[in-house]
Amino acid sequence: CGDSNPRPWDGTNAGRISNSTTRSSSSGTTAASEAAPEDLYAEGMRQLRAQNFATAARAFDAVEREHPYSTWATSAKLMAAYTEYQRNRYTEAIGALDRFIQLHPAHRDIAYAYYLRALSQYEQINDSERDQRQTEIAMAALQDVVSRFPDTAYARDARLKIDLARDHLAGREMHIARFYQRQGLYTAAIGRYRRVVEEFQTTNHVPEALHRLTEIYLTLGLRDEARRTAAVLGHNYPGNEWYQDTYALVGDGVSPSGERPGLLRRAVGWIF
Amino acid sequence: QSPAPPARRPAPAAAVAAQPGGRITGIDVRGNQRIEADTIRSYMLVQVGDVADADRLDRSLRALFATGLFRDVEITPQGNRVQVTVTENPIVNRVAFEGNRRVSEDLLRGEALLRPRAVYTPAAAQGDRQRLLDLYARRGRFGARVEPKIIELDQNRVDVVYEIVEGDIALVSRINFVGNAAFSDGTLGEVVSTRESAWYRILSSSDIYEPERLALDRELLRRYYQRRGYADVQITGATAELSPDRTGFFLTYTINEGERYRFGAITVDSRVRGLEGSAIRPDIPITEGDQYDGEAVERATSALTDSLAVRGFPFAEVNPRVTRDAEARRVAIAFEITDGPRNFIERIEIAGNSRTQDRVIRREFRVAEGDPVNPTLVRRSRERLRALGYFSDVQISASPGSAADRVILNTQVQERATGEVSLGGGYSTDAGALADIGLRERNLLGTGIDARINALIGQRRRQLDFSVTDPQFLDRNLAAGIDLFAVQRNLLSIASYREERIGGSLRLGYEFNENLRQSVSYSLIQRRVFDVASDASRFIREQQGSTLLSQVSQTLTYDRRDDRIDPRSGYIVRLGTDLAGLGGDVSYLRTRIDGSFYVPLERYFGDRDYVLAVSGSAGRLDPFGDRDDRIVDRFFLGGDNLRGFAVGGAGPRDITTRDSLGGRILFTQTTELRFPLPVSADLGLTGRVFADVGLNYGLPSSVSGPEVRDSSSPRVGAGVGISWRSPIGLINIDLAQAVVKENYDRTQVFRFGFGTRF
Amino acid sequence: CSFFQAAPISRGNRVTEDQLAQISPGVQTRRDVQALLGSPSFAGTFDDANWYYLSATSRTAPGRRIQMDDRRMVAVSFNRAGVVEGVRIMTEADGQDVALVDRETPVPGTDRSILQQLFGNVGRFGVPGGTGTTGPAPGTGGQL
Repeated sequence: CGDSNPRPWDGTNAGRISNSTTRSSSSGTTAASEAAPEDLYAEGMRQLRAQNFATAARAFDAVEREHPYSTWATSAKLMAAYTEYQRNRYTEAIGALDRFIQLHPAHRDIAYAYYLRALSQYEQINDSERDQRQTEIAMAALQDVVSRFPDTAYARDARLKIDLARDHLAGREMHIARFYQRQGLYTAAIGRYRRVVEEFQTTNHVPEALHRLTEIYLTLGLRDEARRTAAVLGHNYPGNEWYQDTYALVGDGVSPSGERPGLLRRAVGWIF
Repeated sequence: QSPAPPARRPAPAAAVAAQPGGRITGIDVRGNQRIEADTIRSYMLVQVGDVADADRLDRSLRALFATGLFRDVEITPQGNRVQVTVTENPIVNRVAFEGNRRVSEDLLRGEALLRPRAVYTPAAAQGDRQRLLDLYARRGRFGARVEPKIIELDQNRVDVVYEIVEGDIALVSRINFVGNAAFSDGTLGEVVSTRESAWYRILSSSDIYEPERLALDRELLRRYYQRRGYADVQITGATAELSPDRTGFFLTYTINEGERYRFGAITVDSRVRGLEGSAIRPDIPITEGDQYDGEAVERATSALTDSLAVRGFPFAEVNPRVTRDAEARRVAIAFEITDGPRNFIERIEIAGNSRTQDRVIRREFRVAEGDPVNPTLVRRSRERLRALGYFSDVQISASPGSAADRVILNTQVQERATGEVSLGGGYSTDAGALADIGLRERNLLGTGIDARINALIGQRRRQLDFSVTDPQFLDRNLAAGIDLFAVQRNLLSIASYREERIGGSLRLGYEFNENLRQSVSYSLIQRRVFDVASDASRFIREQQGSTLLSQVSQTLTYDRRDDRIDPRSGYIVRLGTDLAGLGGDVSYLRTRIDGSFYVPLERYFGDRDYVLAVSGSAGRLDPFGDRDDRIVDRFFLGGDNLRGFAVGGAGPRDITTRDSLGGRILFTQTTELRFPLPVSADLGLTGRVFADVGLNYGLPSSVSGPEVRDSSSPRVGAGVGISWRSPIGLINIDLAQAVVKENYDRTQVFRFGFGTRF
Repeated sequence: CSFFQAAPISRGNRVTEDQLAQISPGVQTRRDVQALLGSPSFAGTFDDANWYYLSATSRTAPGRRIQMDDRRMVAVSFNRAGVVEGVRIMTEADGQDVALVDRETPVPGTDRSILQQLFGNVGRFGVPGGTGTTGPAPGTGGQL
């Protein structure tokens, strides 16, 4: 780029900024189209509604670059992030939203910015047989929305998504547990199934985990452990199809209201 | 110059006109263009209604600066109002680089943190300057200079231009060693990783001066000496001085060799209940009187730990105590075995696998949750994961679990692209000029399945094959695979016909243990002999047409080599049996047995690259039922398996038409001495001298007559060869002379093979 | 080990005979058992009254997943006061073969189609998940 006379910076006076004459723009890309910010913004919105996100993104960029001080620039930053989100470019969307949150913490739409940022993390969740770190990051971002803006529509949707994400994590534990069970490594399988029962009580994997535990206890010959686990399953999930399998397996008519080991009531407590 | 922005302190407290303890009624913000006043107020510590004390004002000033948004902030209380005047930092409009010839713009852009639309601060520009300088230092350009320049634009925006003067690269012009009596400068020159700059090293970066590599070279030298008996060796210095003409560096390594030692008494004292020291003494691969070798002690320690784990002592810990006897120059080693901590694995966490499925990784582990923590098995699990080829890096680290004796193994994998598109070209004496294209996905959809499709087009060979293999089918010790192929070979010069094979096979493979594996397969192949030359032998002409082969085969492999790709010691034996006749047009039993033995000659030649490879193979084809065997099923001798002879050049032949007929019995034996050539190892040149012996005879009774020659006399070929791993590909050249032959055999002195992948 | 056999690996927490001899009912508490035998392989699912020490030696066998030999379970039961009540030793004979139900609870969300998996990570990992709900457009603010 053929800049003729860049001001020398001797590093001492921290780049003294003199309000020198405005420079004519040097390279083609930033030909100042001198369009008013509101026209550029309206163009961006029209492109957005017409779903061609690339041109919309460019329009919002132009608003921000050429009119950084107009109030349009603030909203353009948010709309640019939304456009990136629609184009599934989540890292760029998160970057734009971080900048928006830092510069305009008191903005009217700040809740939406946090929410869109959490969504961008959520959309990158991998399926449950693969690395779940992204799920944990998404859950933290969603929890952030719930705690900062508890009574907004965004928080309601975030709570729903947190449960879905937790179900993902439970799904991973179940995959690992089944792998160990099929390999005959029962200690490992029991450890993983119990993690599901203890740490993911609100997910719908608990019935299967309890049934699998019964399967393993019977394989190892621990009949009373099997019966107790079947009783917990029967009591908490009476109609569940997994209970039918367990019932068939344990066989000798363990009535759901069988003897209750001491801790059962507390165990039942935190399952709900 | 201090990079911190020039913060102007607020006016001294004395100038506070407000009566002390007065409430602030309002905060006025001046000078902000882009950032709203509310935002500035929200960052400040004093709010309307607070007491305006100097300390809180000062802390607000620092808070505003910490945001990095402002170049200059002034807080001046006026009466009971507070005025905040700010000058915002400009926004970066564009970042440009000038003068970068050797390093590309987007590589530089990757390093610089200042981006368009980011906030410009002098500190950020200074940080980027350092980052760019580090980038150039990593590439050996220590003399580079970087100057950030600012162009002011309207509306408080700036363009940032980094002016770069790259300077030239610092090379290593000479390496010399001081104090090395036992080994010459030449040998030590090969040991260190840095090389003197030379014309043929334009592509390599080993001759660039890098300070970190000096430390690596010291370690390489120390280990080289340790392995050859010098227990006391010290590398006292590794210095680099700039050459007078400032174009390169002189590296000097000073070595204090010390004495050469032999192994003294090797003892095992076990402090573990129920374990006799003498019981496991034979497991130590060191014998008294051997030359001392530092790495042998490490190898012995892990060998001992392995054998202890197998004997049911997973927690035993082995630590060698080395005692040196300077006068007798003996090193005695006592292997102390103690009860290690009884730790168990609570959980194995796997992270980084955004493509590979969890079970594909977990099934490679030799330990599971709830098992004892056994370092050897954890190490073996990591090696198995690396051998998969799906990951560029695998790290397993332990972190404390929920109880004192519980450990969590955290596995971090770094995935790399496992899809390969390979294009290759080449020439070989048998197939002529050839080009091949291959598409392979080693980890299809992250399930561990290996799928590939290859096409090869050559003058005398055309081939298309497709194969899918699941290395652990249903997570079992069972590899299952399907192959489909179509091969067309032009054998006109050998036996005056073209051959085509189209078919497929189902494969199952499993391991008995680390060394013994077996694979069983069923193949269904349509073979066609066509384009038979008009003057071909009548026996060839009667073979024209298609036959269907339906065959079950098995291969049992016993593999004790030290390395599968470049073996230097150990041996491998294979037994293959093919049973054809369950349907199809041919019925025979074909058995093949082959073996290779590798003898390391480091002891005599002092260099690991001297290897003697002795291999042999025997095969016999026994047709049964009423149908004779076909030419396509018989063995051919010559070419690769008997150098000095053309393909099929030594074996039964119709001497009138000079067509090779193949034989039912095959025997080959090869002795080959491989040695490095007296040129620097970087060129990748290895030489070999070899002698091949071969035998090929046995024809069906229907193939007989005056023109048929079928002799069971052995043929011998001997010669020399060279392989060159050149930058453009692997080149093999063999010159071999047929020493013992029949007069009707067809010889071939020169064989050439060149293959490249890009 | 013989020519055709793979090296055995010891699995789980093996309680040896002389360790067992030191446990006698009515004497040890949970902490003593923990010190002597280490942490149990697993405890009772919903109560801490039983500790189980499971161990086996495993071997790779052709075609199979893992071949488990001499599986051994030592069950230590405690009374309400937390003192050892009884010790039982069980082997494979005490167990029974159980047919596993092969149904699996489905995991909602991103079950990626084959094509998505193949090309989903061209250029970057992570894939536009099928969770469907796209965020609502922000409020049409921005007027002066």
